[in-house]
Amino acid sequence: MHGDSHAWVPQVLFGLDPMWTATLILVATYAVIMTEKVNRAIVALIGAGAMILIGVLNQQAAVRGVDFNTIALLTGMMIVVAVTRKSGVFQYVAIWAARKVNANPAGILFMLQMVTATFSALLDNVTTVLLVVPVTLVITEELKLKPWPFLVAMIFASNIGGTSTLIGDPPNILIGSATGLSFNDFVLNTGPVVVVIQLLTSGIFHLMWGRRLRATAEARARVMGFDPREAITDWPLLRRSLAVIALVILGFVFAHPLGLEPGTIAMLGAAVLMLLFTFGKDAEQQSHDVHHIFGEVEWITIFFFVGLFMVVHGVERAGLLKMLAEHLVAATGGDLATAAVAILWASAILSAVVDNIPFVATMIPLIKSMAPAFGGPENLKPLWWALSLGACLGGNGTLVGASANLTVAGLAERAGHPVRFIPYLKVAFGLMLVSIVIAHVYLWARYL
Amino acid sequence: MSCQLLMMEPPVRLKPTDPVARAVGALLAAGQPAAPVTDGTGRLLGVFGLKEAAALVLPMAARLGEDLGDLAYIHESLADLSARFAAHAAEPVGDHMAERPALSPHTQAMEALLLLERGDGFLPVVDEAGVLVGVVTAARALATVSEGR
Repeated sequence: MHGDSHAWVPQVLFGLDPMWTATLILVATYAVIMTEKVNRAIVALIGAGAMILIGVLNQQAAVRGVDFNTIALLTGMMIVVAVTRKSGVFQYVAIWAARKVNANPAGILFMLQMVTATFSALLDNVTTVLLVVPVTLVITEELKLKPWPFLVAMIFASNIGGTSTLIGDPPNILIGSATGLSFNDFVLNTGPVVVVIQLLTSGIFHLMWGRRLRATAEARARVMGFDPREAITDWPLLRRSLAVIALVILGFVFAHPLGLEPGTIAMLGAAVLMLLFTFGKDAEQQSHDVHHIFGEVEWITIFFFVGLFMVVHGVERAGLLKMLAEHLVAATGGDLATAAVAILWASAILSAVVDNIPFVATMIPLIKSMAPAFGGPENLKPLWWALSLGACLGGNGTLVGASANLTVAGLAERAGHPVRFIPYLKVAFGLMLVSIVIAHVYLWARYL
Repeated sequence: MSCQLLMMEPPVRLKPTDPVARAVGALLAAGQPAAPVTDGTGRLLGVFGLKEAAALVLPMAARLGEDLGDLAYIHESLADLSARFAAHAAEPVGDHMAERPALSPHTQAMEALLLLERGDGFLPVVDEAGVLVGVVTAARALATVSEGR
């Protein structure tokens, strides 16, 4: 993603050393992002601007650093979800799941994890929890249960489920786009261990909470009275949306042999779905609808990625990442297994406390630089799976570890059921470590 | 023209300790959409209206606004809805009052009408110290405007 053939030679102001100047900009950018005092998109764009103004990058080099496949994939899927959610399908599935277990609280706890994990694998995590948490709060209120166990379990399910596919979590999108690893590669390599981790986590949540959850027969009858069909507000739109999502996923499966990038598939799917949604409406209504759909794209995330790509490209071009890669290879004694384990655990711990997107964006060119030491790019695959598993699963460790966690906490607080940092940490960090131990064993047994 | 010409004494004035059921009864009897909630010195603390009372019948997740989606899938009888309201009837309005935009006596009438159009037809008016000096309602404003005096 960061390669370009143009021989741009950094011309840094005042003759400063390009590598250390770029490093300073990167560290300052990440430090300000971590303070959360300034919006992360603004910080990343200012960091990118600094790289250009100071002369680490020129404008052409900065634009070439942007991975437009990732941008298109994120934006396309956000549009697909923005249209699909109007049909009410997410409420439908959540209510269907609750009724399927006769509104038994332990059963609902399990089913909502499965629903969340599945949606998170096929859509992005934030969107999934944004759509499933509200109906979960309605169900738990009807059952007169505290929503805390359900919310924590859904956070875990969203991050675990998202780990299993190329499109499920931003770190995977970044890794897939940069390395050419396909949708199928992720399903076949991270998918199996994700199933094990999700089932084990669900079992632990059952032992911790599920088996003790009780609801009166009257309360359960009220939930059984929910009619999921009434949750569907637009049946034709539902059919069109599901058809397009199915085609998009098929497209992801066959993209690699067809020589297509996932971003192309997602953006084409988004355009087709918008066409189907607005077809037959007058021009004014079409403009209104399309404007509204575009408004639901998370532009903060998109511009954050754009700025970040430029900042990372700056340090890459300046030679910092190559130098770090050489040190890392030396520190691991040139042993692939040691490197994979180090990347898994470092990714997990760091992703629990800092935003995993900038971390992964930096690690990608760094790992690519290790290719010569490990016998070529093909041999780096265990490292990519280690990075994916560590960065995605590590996000469960704290409330700030992933965007989905903060989204759940925000929704819960607004609904009068705050999820606090320390109580979450007490439950989650240990469970996150359990998932990393499983991932460690899996990597060791399968690849190392 | 300032909003003073549209202003009137509040037909209902609530204390934060007033129970929800009594507050709703007073609003319905006076035909008012809302009432100011003030402390002992007359300072405006918030507004409690029929909108806030109706929200008490809804699941707490309704506080999520548009993120909730809709609730068409819940089928409730009148008895169910009454029971939901009764569960909150004895609670103090101070726990459920809302913040609304407050006008000053010098606010332009046009601005007051715009805020009425955007809200639920009720606006408190306070002085510089935050003490309630009156209210502007859609009914009173329209009566004044249509009569032209």
